[in-house]
Amino acid sequence: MSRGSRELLGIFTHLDALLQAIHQLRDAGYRDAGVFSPVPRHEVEEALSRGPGPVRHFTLIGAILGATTGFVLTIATSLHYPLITGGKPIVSIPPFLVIVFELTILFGALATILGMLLNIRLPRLKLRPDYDPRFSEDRFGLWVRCQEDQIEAAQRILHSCRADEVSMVSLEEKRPRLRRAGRFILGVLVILLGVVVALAYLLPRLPTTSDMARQPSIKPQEHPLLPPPNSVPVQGKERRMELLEASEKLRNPVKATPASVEHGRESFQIYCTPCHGPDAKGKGPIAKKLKTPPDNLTEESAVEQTDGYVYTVIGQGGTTMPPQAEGLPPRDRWDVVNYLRGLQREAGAR
Amino acid sequence: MIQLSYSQINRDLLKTMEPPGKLYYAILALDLAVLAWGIYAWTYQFRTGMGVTGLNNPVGWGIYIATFVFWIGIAHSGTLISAILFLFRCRWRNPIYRTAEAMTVFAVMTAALYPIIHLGRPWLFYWLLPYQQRGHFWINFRSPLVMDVFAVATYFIVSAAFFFTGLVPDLAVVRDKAVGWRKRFYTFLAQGWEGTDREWRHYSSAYLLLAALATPLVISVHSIVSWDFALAIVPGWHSTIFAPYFVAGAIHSGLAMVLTILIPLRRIFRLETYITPAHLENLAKLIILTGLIMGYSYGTEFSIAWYGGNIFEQATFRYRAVGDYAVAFWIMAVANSVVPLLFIVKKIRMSVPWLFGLSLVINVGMWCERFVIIVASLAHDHIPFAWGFYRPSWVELSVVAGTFAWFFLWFLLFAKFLPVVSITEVKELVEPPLTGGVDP
Amino acid sequence: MSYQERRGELPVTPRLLPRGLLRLLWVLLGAGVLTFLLEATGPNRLRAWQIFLVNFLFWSGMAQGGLVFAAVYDVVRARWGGAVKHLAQGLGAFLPVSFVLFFLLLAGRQVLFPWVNQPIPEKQAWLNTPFLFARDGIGLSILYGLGLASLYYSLRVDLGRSVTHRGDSLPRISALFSRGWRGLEEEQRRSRRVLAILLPIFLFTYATVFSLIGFDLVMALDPSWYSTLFGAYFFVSSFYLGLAAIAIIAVLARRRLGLEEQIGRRQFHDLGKLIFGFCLVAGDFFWSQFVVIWYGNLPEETAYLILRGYEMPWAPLTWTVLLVSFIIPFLLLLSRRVKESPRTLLPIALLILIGMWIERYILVVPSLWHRTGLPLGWIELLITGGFLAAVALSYSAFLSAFPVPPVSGVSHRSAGLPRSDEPGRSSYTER
Repeated sequence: MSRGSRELLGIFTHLDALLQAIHQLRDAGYRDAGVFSPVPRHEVEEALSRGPGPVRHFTLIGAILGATTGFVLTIATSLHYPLITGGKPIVSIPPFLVIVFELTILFGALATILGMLLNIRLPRLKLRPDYDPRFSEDRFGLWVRCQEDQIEAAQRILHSCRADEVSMVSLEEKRPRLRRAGRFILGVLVILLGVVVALAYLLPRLPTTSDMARQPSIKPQEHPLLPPPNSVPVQGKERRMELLEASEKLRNPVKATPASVEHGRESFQIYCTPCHGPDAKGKGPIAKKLKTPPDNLTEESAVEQTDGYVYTVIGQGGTTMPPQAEGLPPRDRWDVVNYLRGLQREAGAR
Repeated sequence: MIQLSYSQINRDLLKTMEPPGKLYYAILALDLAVLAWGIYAWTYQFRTGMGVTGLNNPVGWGIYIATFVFWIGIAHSGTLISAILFLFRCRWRNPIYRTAEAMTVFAVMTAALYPIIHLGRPWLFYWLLPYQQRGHFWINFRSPLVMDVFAVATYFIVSAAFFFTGLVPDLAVVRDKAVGWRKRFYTFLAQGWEGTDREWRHYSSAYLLLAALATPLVISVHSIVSWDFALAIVPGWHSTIFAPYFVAGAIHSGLAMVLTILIPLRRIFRLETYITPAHLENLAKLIILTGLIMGYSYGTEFSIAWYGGNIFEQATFRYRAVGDYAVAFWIMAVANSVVPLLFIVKKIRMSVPWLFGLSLVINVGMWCERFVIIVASLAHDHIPFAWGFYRPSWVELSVVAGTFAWFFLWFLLFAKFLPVVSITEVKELVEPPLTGGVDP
Repeated sequence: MSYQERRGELPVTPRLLPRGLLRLLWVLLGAGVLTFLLEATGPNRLRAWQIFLVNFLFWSGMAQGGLVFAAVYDVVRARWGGAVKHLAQGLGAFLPVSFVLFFLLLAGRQVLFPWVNQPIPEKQAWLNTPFLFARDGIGLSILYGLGLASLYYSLRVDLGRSVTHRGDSLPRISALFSRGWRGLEEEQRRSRRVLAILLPIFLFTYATVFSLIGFDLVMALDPSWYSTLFGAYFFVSSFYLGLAAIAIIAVLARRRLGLEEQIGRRQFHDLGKLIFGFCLVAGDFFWSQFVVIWYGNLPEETAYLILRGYEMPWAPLTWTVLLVSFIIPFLLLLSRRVKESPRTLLPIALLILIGMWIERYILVVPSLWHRTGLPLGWIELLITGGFLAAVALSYSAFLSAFPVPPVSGVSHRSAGLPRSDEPGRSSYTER
């Protein structure tokens, strides 16, 4: 845009008229021209014969940057503090490749957008003076810039191609607002970068402590939060009874129906057979490894015990026997008792 | 595409942004109420602890994670429609791509809530970000959950960028027609877009490149989410087919969700000329394809479970079919692989009520699939001693409902603040105005 | 205006292969057959049979890939490359041969399939000779039947167009196809109706039957190993190598058959994009299997990969496959110029094909070859050559019987205004 240059704007309703005008202007040697259109048309692009854009170069550079960042980030940090996780090598390429892949695409996409914005000089706060709102609706605009003396010929071309309107546009000097907007964006980016750097510096220095004596746990004399319902223990609450008391006072609330016995059999097989064996005689597969052999539950001494006693031992454990309360809810324990009674009867009958 | 003038298109599609009526506000109010209830439930969980959920040993991942996977899946078909169909030059995508892409962005935003929601100490969520922690160590880049962070974050950023880029020319259209505070608002958003040939050229170039980048991204994201499960050696999870199976499932549920959204949308905004039965039919045909892939995957997994001779794998499949979660399993099997085949019947896929109904069924089925895969495998692992049962509590259900409300809230806002059908791309479909042709 | 008048003089059904080359191919075929027959019963029978299997899988996959390409092309109603589609269909001419060769595998079953001599009790219900050959045989019959049926309906119309527009005279075999000809319009309508049902079924059958073939003929060679994605990987990679073959044929046949107008930059660009896309898909499926097995680190799964990727003599071959079939094509095909130019597309497609042949080799042979050394010598070369000759000869026969049909309308890009019969195109599509 030199002094003495003028701009002409033709508004077209029809695409073919526009294309005709473009061809004629180019044939007449007018190079500084462009089009406003509501939609991208490849015919317009071809008529203006511009080459393929540079945006894809941004993409490529962004992608390479992303890939490099991915490799450096993952490999350098793994080597910086070598910690074996999952038995995998310190520099484990397969998972790192995934991170690399994602960062390649992320940086590539962001670079593409940046490339696009830079090339079309967006974002901009003010529109061009020759912009007409109809260009986003259904009109095409053809602007051509040329010297004062060439204006006449250009005007004639536009009119001959059936432009709806032809007008002269006054050109401003280089728009300072463009620069201002650019600087604004740059400023925002720099501030963002600063924030990120600051965070990266500050976050690790947050007042956390590695002194394990300072814990958020409940201290002595502190009032604890009550556990939410159904959270601890696994199912419902249960009053812990002493073995003697339980043996005398606790009654079996679950009738020995076939369903209960069957369920008890399943649970017995999972929880009890490793030690006590499938027939409850104390010859389970683990039994031979134990110093104190597991009880033979079909013996007199076991048969004599009350249901309450057996139930409590299952839940709280015995001298060597671990408590089974975690895996066996109270109801299930009674089912096991019922099943065991059945086993004992069978063994006694034989 | 029938012949429409550019200004007609402008008028029709800008009408969707007119001030809304009572129905809109009623739906908005209901939505906000559900959202508020969900937020209340989550703050209750936050204050009281994870015990208020049904999560425990052995099922530590429940409907939070199931819904997370579900939402990420939904997001995928938006990108399919906007990016992949674009690369294949499918013109019919033009009127529906904007809504689909919006669905993607909002679905990812919804999914991104869950990694924070399901944490016991959500205020420590930033531990997932890649920075140097005290003691000079970083996050575990070998973990698929960390891969998730990168994948979902990338997917959100790229989708949002793609979405916004495609919006800019339309924002210029809105700007030029707006008055008052709207004019200033859209002028700011439109960034100074003028539609010059230079702008269109670089825009088209960037659009194509973003579509080309988004395509492998989409496949990688749900593959990575599937690897959250497949890389573990839990029976029912450790299967090489998970990545493409999840991606196909994602597209499957996403397409159904697109139908669920488009059908009321076109009715309410009277967009039947733009979103024609042919569009819905094409979506239905794609659903047949993805449904077949789901059926193939189910069949293969089941057969190889037998063939492989792994008794744990076989036990898991048996448990899924007849165990505690059998109902969900059979809903999943039928809704995902059998029901979509109904679309083979032309009458069904041309009928809007059928399309809407079946799309809901498929969505329910896909959610059930996520649920079954996650919960059934965890509940019934290798050792019988560690078997357990999981039932979601009211807190979890409320929070999930709240996130659905969150998704639809964004959609309600989108419908009124942005053009739901891409004005520019529809203009590209019709004949340009030629002398002696259609008058604008 | 008939096509001929518009195009000027055009040799009717030009021969794809010069006579000298044809003779060479017959010799090659003979040599291959002879080598196989001699070695298949001798001390080298494992080498003969395993390379037979490798080639069977490779070339049948390629042949099927051609038909699948044509089917997908029609199902999505593409219009960018009718000539390319026809050239792709030609690969299907090998299918009848492939079908016979499948049953020939019966003769080699004791050499090839470890579960024949040492049946595995848990898998015996699935891995036994009668059931395996029955199910795969039936599967292949259905698949090949559907493929050839869709070929029939498609070729019928194409032949009609050739005769109507160019006044081609038909060799005898093609005359069979035009029995009961009802006029071009009617035939096109009927063909479209039939294919609308046939093609989707064919494609689904391809996916399932080829998965089955992959599981039965490749994965089962090592019966203790399994991977749920293997079947899908097999049919996707078969399609991938089919695409590479189509590209090679398109480049080579273009000049010979005078198809420069019909197969231009746009067609190569699209073919290149498809190859790029499937390079990614096949690579992704390969990777999905690898990463899951790597992470799980379960010996029953990793043994398969470790043998191929880390032990000699297989490791160099595996890494070659990775490089040549996936990494290099991916990097090179990023560029539009590389995709568009036949001069650059041809060597890349050739690389892919060679890489994929080695890939089939590396899937099959390490499961079977338990001796030292690498079984890659004259036997393998000659038998592979025999297969190559068989495919080339059947392809050439196809093209002689079914010439490339003329395209209705012009396929190159418009330089000026959009026409009413063209789908409205935006600048996006021209890049």
